[in-house]
Order: sequence, then structure tokens, then C-alpha cells
Amino acid sequence: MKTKATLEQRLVRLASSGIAGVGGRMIRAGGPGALLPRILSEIDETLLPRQVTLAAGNDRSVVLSVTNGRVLRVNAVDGVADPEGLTGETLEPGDAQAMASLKALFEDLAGDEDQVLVRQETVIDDLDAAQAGLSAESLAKAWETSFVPADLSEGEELAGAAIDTFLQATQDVVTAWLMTGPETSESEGAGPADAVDELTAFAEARRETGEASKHITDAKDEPWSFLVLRRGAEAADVTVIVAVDGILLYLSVGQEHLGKVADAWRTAVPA
Amino acid sequence: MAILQHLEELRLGLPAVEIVAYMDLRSGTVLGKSVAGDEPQERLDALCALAGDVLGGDAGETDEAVMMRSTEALVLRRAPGAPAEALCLVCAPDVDISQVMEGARRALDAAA
Repeated sequence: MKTKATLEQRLVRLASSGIAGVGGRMIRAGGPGALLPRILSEIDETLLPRQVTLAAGNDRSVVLSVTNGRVLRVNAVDGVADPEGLTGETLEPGDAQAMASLKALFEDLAGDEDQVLVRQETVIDDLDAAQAGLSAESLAKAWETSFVPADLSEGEELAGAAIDTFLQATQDVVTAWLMTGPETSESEGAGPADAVDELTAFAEARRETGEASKHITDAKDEPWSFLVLRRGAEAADVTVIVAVDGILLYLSVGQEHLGKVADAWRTAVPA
Repeated sequence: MAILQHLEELRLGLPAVEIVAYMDLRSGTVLGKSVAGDEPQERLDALCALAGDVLGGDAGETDEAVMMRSTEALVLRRAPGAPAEALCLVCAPDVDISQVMEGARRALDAAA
């Protein structure tokens, strides 16, 4: 069964090209120890050749080559123990030892944290990996974790495309964005860390008070799907909340750019 | 209350605006309005309740809000110096939001 978190991940994947910027995107899990399925989803949804960097606190990072939903290689680790010497080795399908080592690597990376920064870079050289490497699904099975492969309905694909189009059209004027749901603590975002944190705190406050749904996703008649809030008379940025098919997108935007953002919403998001 | 004198002028100056209403958020009362056509009181009362919800939410007070859906757009703005009062403009969905926000700000500043 699909989960809203899976949908959100997939939507972010759809929106990831160029949106996240050099700073990357923050993947947040529901709590400590819940990051492995999110990392597997990230791998599963990476279809084109990418170098994927997963970074956590204390300068810990793991750099992977990923394509076609499969991890081909661990390119580098920093601040993370690699006792089995996985770094630089090409991963072979079904290699149980490599799967266990990779799990230990990710667990060491995540530690007690519930979030990890993800950066993706296009790999120029040809990676032919239709069957090579370790697929996210095989890793999930070996690790006995509840990874849910993305499997979207046509309507969800349309919603994802709408968000993708909207983010592409506004990326020059959006300071930061955060994607979440009205009833989940899981979220992903991009932009300066303090701006993303501020959006996260606001989204959580709205979820706790029930405002995240009010007038937006639970309206009896047509819901309001675009909301701008200016909080504080001197605030330079306003908060824009866009609702698409139950997904909430929080954006921090300079007030002078509201016209462009509103036009992008009208164009991208189906009525 | 000087803003009440400006409601009609504000609506006529912004062609896409159909309703301009000045509201007391605390009591949920419409203090004054300028309306292009016939609008039932229930509609205005509902707008007043919505404005109170959005501007005075528990997650933090908001000074200004814009709400849009495919059929209409709303601009809500608290009155400077009278935070329990707010201006509400109901507009066509394709309105120039920045222009309406600026019009609301000017009207409230002029009345302050």
C-alpha cells in the first residue's frame, strides 16, 4: 500500500533537477532509526546515473554511485566507519556481505538522527547498470525493513508533475521550500538551513493546531489551494502554502515576487 | 473607522475586486462593505469568520493573507493600530494579487 511519505518522496524526486541547488535536500524521517527506508526510497527513485551524497551531522557522509534504482558503488565515506573496505568496490547483485556492510555504513551515518542531507550530481561517464549493483528492493529484503517502492496512480503522477512545474517556474524567486503533508511529521525541503528550519517549525505548529488542514484540504466546497501569510509587519519574506492532492508545499518567498508565484500556481496546478 | 469612507473608492479603483468589507475579527462583525452586486449577509458573515481564522490562527498571528482557488481570490489585511480589525477584498481568480495587496495597504494607511 502506498504511503503519503512515499508520494512525497517521489514528488521531490520529480522536482529535484536543479531545484535543490548545491545545498541539497533534507530528508526527514518520523523519528530516530526510521531513516533507512527513506534512504532506500531515495535510491529506488534514482533512475538516471547520479552520484548521491548522503550527509549527516559531525561531517559524516557517504557518497554513492546510483542508477536504475541500484547502488553500484560506495565512492567515498567521511567520518563513517568502513571496516569491510566497501569503498571503491563494485557491488555485485546478491552479495550478502556487501548488503550487511552497506546497512552498517548507513546506520553509522544516521546514528541517532532523524534527518540526512541528500545531494545529487549528474554522472557524466557511462554507467551501464541495468542489472549490476544492489537494488533498493533487494536491500530492503535483506535488511528486513518496510521499504515501499513508489507506485503512483495517474492522478498522483499528475499532482507530482504539477508540483514539479510549479517549483521549476519559481525556483529563481523562492528562498526555501518544504514539502510535507497535513498529518505527517515527515518532510523534505531545500534552501538555506535556517529558512528550511523556520518553515519546518511553522508547518509543525500548523499541524499540531489543525490549521494545516483547515480551509485547505478539508473544505466541504472547493478548498483553498494557494495561501499566502505575512507574519510580522517587517517580515521580508512571506510564507506561501500550496496544496496539491493532499500534499502541502511551504515556500518562503520575497513579497515582491508574489505575482510571479501566483501566476506559476495558476499555470501549473490543475483546478 | 475612517476606512469605511474609502471602501467604495477602493473597490471601484480595482476592477477585479467584487467585495470590499471591513471587519471586526473579535466579534465577527462586518463593520462596513462595498459590494458590486447582491451578496447575502450569510456570505459576508462566512468571510468574516474565515478572516478571523486565517489572520488569528493558533500557530501565530498573521498580518496579511492571500487565499486563492480556481473561482476566486481573497486578500485579508489587518488594520495598522487596530489589530482586531481587518480589510477583506474578494477578487476574480485571475486578479493581479500584488496590485490588490498594495491597494489594501494604501487604503488602510490613508485611514490610519
